Amino acid sequence: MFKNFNIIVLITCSLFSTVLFSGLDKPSLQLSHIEEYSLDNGMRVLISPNYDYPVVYCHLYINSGEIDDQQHGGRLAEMTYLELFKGTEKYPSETNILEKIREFGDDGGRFNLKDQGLTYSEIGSYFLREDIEPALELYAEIIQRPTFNSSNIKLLGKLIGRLGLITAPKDWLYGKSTLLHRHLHDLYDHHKTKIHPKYWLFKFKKKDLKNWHKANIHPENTTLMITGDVNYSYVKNIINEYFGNWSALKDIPERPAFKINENPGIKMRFVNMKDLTKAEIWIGQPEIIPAYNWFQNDKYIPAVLAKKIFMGENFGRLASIQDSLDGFEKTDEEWWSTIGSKIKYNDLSEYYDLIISEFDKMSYIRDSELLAAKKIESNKIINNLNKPENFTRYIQHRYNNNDFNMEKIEASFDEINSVSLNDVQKVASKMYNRNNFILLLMGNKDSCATFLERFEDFEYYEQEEEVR
Amino acid sequence: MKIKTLTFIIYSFLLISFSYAFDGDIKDFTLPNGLKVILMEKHGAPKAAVSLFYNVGSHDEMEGQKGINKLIEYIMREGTSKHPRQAIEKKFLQLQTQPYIDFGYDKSFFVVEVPVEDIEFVLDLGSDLMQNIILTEEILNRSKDKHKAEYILWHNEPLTGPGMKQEHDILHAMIPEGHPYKTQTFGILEQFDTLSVQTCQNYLNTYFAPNNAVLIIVGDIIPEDATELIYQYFSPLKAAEAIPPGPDLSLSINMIPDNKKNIKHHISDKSIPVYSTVFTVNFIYPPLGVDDWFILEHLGEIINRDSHLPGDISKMFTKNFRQLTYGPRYYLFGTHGGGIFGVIGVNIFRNGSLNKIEKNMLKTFEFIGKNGIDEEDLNEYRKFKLLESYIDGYNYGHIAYKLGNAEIIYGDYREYNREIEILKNLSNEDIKRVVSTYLISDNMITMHVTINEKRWYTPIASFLFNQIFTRIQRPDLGIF
Repeated sequence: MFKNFNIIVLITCSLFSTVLFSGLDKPSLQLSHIEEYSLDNGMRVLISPNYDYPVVYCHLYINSGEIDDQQHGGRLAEMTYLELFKGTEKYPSETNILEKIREFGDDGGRFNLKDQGLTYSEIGSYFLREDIEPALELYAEIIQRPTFNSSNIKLLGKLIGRLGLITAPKDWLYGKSTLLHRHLHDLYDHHKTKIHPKYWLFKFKKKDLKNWHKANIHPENTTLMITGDVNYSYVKNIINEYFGNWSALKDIPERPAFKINENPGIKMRFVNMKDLTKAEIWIGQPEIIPAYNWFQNDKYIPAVLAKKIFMGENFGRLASIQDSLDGFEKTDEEWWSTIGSKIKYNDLSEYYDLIISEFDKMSYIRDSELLAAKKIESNKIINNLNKPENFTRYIQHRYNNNDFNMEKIEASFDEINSVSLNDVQKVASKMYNRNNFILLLMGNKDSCATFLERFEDFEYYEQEEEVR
Repeated sequence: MKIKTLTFIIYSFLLISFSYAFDGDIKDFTLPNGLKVILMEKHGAPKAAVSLFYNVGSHDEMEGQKGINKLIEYIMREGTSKHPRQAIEKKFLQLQTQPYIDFGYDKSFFVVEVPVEDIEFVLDLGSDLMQNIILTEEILNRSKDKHKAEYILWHNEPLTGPGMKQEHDILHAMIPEGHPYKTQTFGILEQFDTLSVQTCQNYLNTYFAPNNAVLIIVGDIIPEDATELIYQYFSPLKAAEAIPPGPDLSLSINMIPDNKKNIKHHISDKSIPVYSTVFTVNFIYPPLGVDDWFILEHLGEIINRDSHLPGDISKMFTKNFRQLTYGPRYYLFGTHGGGIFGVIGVNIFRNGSLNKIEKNMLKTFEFIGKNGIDEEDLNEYRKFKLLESYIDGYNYGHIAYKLGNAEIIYGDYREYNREIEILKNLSNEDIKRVVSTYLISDNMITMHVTINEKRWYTPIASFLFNQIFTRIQRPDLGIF
């Protein structure tokens, strides 16, 4: 009798505790089931069901990008990637490929994503459920059997390129944006060359593109993810049919390391532009994450939050001063961020001091600021993940950059809320450091003279054409 | 506890309609004060779109008050004493969202997507804005200043500007004098700038009331909980006593005097550095919401898709680009009472023969009226539009907009996917029928717009551009 009673109590308690504590360890982001497997050639496949609408999002993520082309500053990687879409064995010309895409209902790019970044290349597109087979057939053609026969790499293309360079407007070649980027790229050894116009004329042969393709786009570094209205066994069969025969590379070269000069000091450039009625000043901060598997880096989330607190749209600390500044612009790129303004020559020092003082203030972040930044960041992610395109890219980038598994991807979302004020504070002090940034100043040298006296060391360019 | 129980009783009593729509389960009911509520459950993400539509637009403005409806938008943006503008902006920023607000010809609304736990904030705000705006001289003047600034920006916008102001001007030139759509939604500066606090407050009290509004929530909601909140925030609001009936909005070719059926227009625009001519043929078409309207809209989009290629339709319209450098592009001026279906073509550096071009454009429609369009083009378009519609479905705000629009304009929110339903069965027979009915010379207004002045080099440039350059590469003008 007592024994039975004890068992009942035990069962009741265990049920109670299961109910009570079941929610405790659950991550806030709960992914629906994602089928994960590899083909014999090493290509990874992720299939994620979403039956809201009869569409699928097909996405190829390739673990290679500009960084894998050190010799040409990423130019060869870029050209090879672009040429993938200009002709394959079955679809010999770009027009044939576009016609095929049009058959799927696309209007020339509306539902497509084509992008190559520093460390990855990706192709993604929406299709109606009924078109999944011909769509995967086209993807397989593009990625496995490009012919590299388009005119862009032929002599005529090169001549037109040269002519374009000669006749290109000066603003295009030496505009403030280009000058700024050249300066920023000094911090990143891997592809600074790509920014200078002379590197646009690298003479690539078809053989160069083919070789780069072979070495850097192969099944072992590619992941296909399909999100949407899928029938598992049907989709698996067609994936195997179109990607199963893709030859593995086997001897995979080691990828170059991604280096950032974390402590460049104050790197300043002045470009004499005598006709400017106001000075144009840009201040930029390099990111501080020294590896390209950035999601895994414990500084990644604190850095995202610090940046949000400093320059978040209509929210960050800069928002309160930017309205009063003429031509205020900010850029927030993957590897750097910049703020720029047009300033009266007499006000240059005052503006500079204002920005530097804002850097100093970043060593003190309020709890409320961090809380708001966390909420903004987590809302941004979670409220967009119902769209297959956003969901797929969210998973693919984390899965591929860091070899995350699905549990880790779920858990990584919660890291946003678990980051401490101290972590963010530390990273912010490093990012916004009065002794560590780049500065690009453009203006009349006489009018800027007083301001320039404040700096002992800077690169001086008499005219913009000299800027390297 | 008592209130909660009461609410549930009322809730169960009020619910009058349950239905299943393609996008999710829908429920609707009406509060005793007349507010219509539409709830759609979608559980793909922990968010919800909240939207309030008012059945009022610039077409309701009286003479002497043109622009008051748009001015009310600026007044509403100032917020209330409970929700001042800065606090609203800060909150939406924190939620990483921006409300989409539009006070147009036929309807005035806002729609915003928020995390589902924050819908209470939006409902509180929506009810507060509906009845607690106390206008002062200071708020009115600030709102007028903002309205004026936008009005001036709009009026000085170049032809290639983002708002297509010039295109609106061209379209409005065809609307008969005295018609409620004759004045654009920005109104007339001299009229809205002299409006008094009392006039604006009366307009607010008359039209922005629960019995002239529809509240829509789409998203990850539990309908019972959402209803409780809706009841809490909206049931205390008072219905407006007498909402004036809307004016006659019908539009037909018979209302256009003969001397306005062939319009010539000149624009000076520095943003386009060359002499150009724009040709348009326009046809009056039926009110929004009827099936023919949807079919014409689909045809228009097919024409636009074709012009990107360019395909067969485009080649016919332009006589293989010998008559027009660029085109055809279709545009639509759609309103509750009817609208204009127009096809536009552009020539750079030359006039061409106006009569020949018009004749050819009409001949193309005659051809489509007799033969329809290529079946393959129709199927590709169908896929394109279905994809677009499905992808938009992941955006809850978009569905909320479609529901509100259908309720106000078509008179029934259940028609919100009518456009897609028609598309699924769209045949060449439908296309032939609407083209032969509406896109005919008896229903046509033509317009010839010249941009900038001819220069000494125009004939030489025209020859080089049209005979050599455009034969190698068609320019993408980035306009229209």
